[in-house]
Formats: sequence, C-alpha cells, structure tokens
Amino acid sequence: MPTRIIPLLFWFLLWELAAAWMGKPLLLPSASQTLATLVRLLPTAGFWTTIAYSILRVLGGFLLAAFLGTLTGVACGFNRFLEALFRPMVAAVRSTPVLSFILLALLWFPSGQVPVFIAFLMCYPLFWTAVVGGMGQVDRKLLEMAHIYKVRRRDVLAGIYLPTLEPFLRGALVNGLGLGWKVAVAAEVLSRPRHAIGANLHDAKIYLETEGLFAWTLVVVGLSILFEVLFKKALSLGKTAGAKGGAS
Amino acid sequence: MIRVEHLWKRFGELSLYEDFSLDIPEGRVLAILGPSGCGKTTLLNMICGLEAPDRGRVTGVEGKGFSYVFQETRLLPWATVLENMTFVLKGPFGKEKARERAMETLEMVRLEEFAGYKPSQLSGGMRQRLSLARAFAYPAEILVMDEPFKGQDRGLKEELLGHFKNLLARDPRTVLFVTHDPEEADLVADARILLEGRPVRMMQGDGSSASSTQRNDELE
Repeated sequence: MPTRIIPLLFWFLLWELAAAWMGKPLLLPSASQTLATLVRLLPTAGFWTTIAYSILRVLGGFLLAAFLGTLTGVACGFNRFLEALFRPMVAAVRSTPVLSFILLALLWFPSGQVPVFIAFLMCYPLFWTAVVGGMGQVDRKLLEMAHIYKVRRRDVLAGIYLPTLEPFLRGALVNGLGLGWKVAVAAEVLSRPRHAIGANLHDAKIYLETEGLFAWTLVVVGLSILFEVLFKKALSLGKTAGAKGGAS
Repeated sequence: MIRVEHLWKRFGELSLYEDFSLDIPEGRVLAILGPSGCGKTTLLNMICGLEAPDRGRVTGVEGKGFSYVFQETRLLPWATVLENMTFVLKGPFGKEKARERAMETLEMVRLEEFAGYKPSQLSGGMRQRLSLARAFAYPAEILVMDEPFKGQDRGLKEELLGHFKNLLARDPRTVLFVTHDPEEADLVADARILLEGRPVRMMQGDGSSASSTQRNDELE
C-alpha cells in the first residue's frame, strides 16, 4: 500500500508547491483548493445525477461497441471479403480526429446522444481489430479435429473460437473503457447535455472557476480508474468461475 | 469394403500419388507402413475427407463416421480432460450420456481421476491416452491413427498399445494405423501394407491381406 500512497502524495505535494510558487489560483489552483471544491460538490444531489448520467452514456457507447465490434469482427474473421470491406472503414475511423466526429455528431444527434455515439465510434475499432486479430489465431488443427468429429457449429464457436478470442477481448475491454471515458467527456464538453460531467467542465471554464475544472477532472480520472478496477475484477472472477465450472 | 480408386494428388511440382488404388477390409486393423514423409498422412486425409484428391475417389465411406488419433494430440488446451471428451461426444450422445460415455472410456485408460485437469497438467503419455480415449468414445465406424505413438519410449508405447487393444475389444471398428515402425504394426495389425517412392507405390502387402489390399500394379 505505501508504494502506492507515497508516489501519490509526492505528486500532490509537487502540485501544491507549484501552485503556491505561481500564486495565481485562477490559472493553477492548489491541490487543497481543488479537493475542497470536490468535497463541497459531493453532498449535492446534482453532482450524483450528473455522474450517473455520464456513466450511462459512457457504458452505453462502450457496450454497444463491444457487442457490434465482436459480432462484425467474428463475421469478418470468417469472410475475407467482408474483412477487406470493413478494414478501410475501421482504419478511417481510427485515424479521424475525435473532434471531427464530435462536431459532425452535434449536427446529427440530440445533445444527450452525442457522447454515446462518440464513445461507440472510438471503441468500436478497438474491438473489431482485437477480434479480427484473434480470429487469425484460431488453431486450424483444432478446427480440423472438430470437423472430423462433426462437432456442431455452435459448439465449435463456444469451444474453440471463444476461448481463443478471450485474451484479445480482455485487452480491448480494459483499453476501451479508458478511451470511452475520455472521448465521451470530451463530447459532453461540446454537446453540453443536461446532467453531464463534460457540461460542468465547460461551465467551469466559462465562469473561470478553475478549481471546479480541476475538481471535475479529478472526478473523471477517479471514475475511469474505478471502472477499470471493477472491470478487471469482474473479468478475473469470470475466469475463475469458468475454470471451476469446467472442472466440476 | 473401403475402396480407394485411382487417386491422383500433386503438390506443386511434387506428384505424390498417381493412379493409386487400395482396398481396405472392414472390421480389421490395417497398418500402413512407410518412411516418414512418404505421403501416409496425405492418404489418410484423402480417405477421411480432410483433403480432396486431384482425381479419383474413395468409396465405402459414405455416411460413415471417422475418428482420428492425430500425431499431435490436438486437445483443447483451455478445456479439462472431461470437457475435451464431451466436446466431441455431445453431438452423437447428448449432454448427459456424453458425460457417462466419457467417464467410462476415461476409466479404461485410467484417466478418470484426472477428469478435471487441463492437458497442460498431464504428461505426454497421458495426453496421448486422452486422445485415444476421445477417438474410441466417439461412435465412428472407421478409426484413423497417424503415428500416435511416435516419440514415446518403449514402455509407454507398450502401455498405450495395451489400452488400444482393450478399447478395440470394447468397440471393434475398422482401423487405419499409420506408422513408420514395423514393430508397432506387428503388435496390433491384422494386415499391413508398405508405401514408398515418388509417386507412392505399394511395395509389399502382408500375406493375409494380399488378395484384398493389392489390386493395383504395385511391383514390377
């Protein structure tokens, strides 16, 4: 534990010193000011509603990307033509600046849906690429074995394809969640839906409440870490449960 | 009778089979001998439909099931011993009966206590026993074995052959047993053929099967 706390304290201290040295809280509020602002926000009902809505948007886009990315990735893994068709589209989405998509999405969708769409759009290539890569790793010799023994298609999917894809999906899930938070909040800053962390970031900037800007940013960082930890825990639980279920 | 009729198979410049024919009597163990890399595996694969010949055909296998003991065991590395068995048995037996059948067969090769283990936790010989058990538990008329005991020491080989004989006594079937080791063939086979050359020819057939296995012009 101290190995985690001490570096954290070090950086907070450095932040505190830098803020004191600069002496301009409007540009760089101190760590203690930021924490005080955060503590003031905590008991308000609006704070929790805001967080809840933002979480829903991030998870909505992320889960949709996980589902569709896996589905289309598997399909492309089976069909070379389909893969050739998808590949340039995915590559284009990957290399397009997220802001271009946000501005475009502002024209297409109501403000509350923009962050969902953006989280989806940024996470989708992650899942697609991971799954297509995983499909390439499926052991032909095992498939041949399953073919000889006339194993049904769905059993081959569940027994050979899924276990091969699992580590690839695991990586995409963890990375996608982190990415999803960043881009969804960025989209919220511009689309400013009611109840959104990003909208609060925007307002804090407009009204020069720099310590509010820092406090809300801390919230995003904290939530992102929390979700990553929870997801990893859920994934490892799933793994041990699967192993136990198999042995019984 | 399984008939291999006038097979041709070419890999690029290499002509492996040219007008190759072979009759395989049913319900017996036929050893297919020959040096490593002579084309035995390709012949097996063409018989069980994993590879298509360029010309020619195999008759007498329509609607029949195959099971295959591969040289590398081809077990699912993430699945347990029992799951590796039920993976192929679920189809023909249904979930419940597949488990029963799997456990029965695992008992015959003395792996029942390892049902919950992963292949990586087993020794090479145990994995080979599992591969044998999987092939015998599966209800197929034809069993194909491709050098299943290659690289095993003598003691282990004899033990595996013992298991093979017990399993065959419970579930008799036509067996195509590919090996490069004449001793193995002596131990289990009812008949034998020897493959050699480019293109592959049948160099000799065992007396007991000569009439049925040597239809073609195998020797000058």
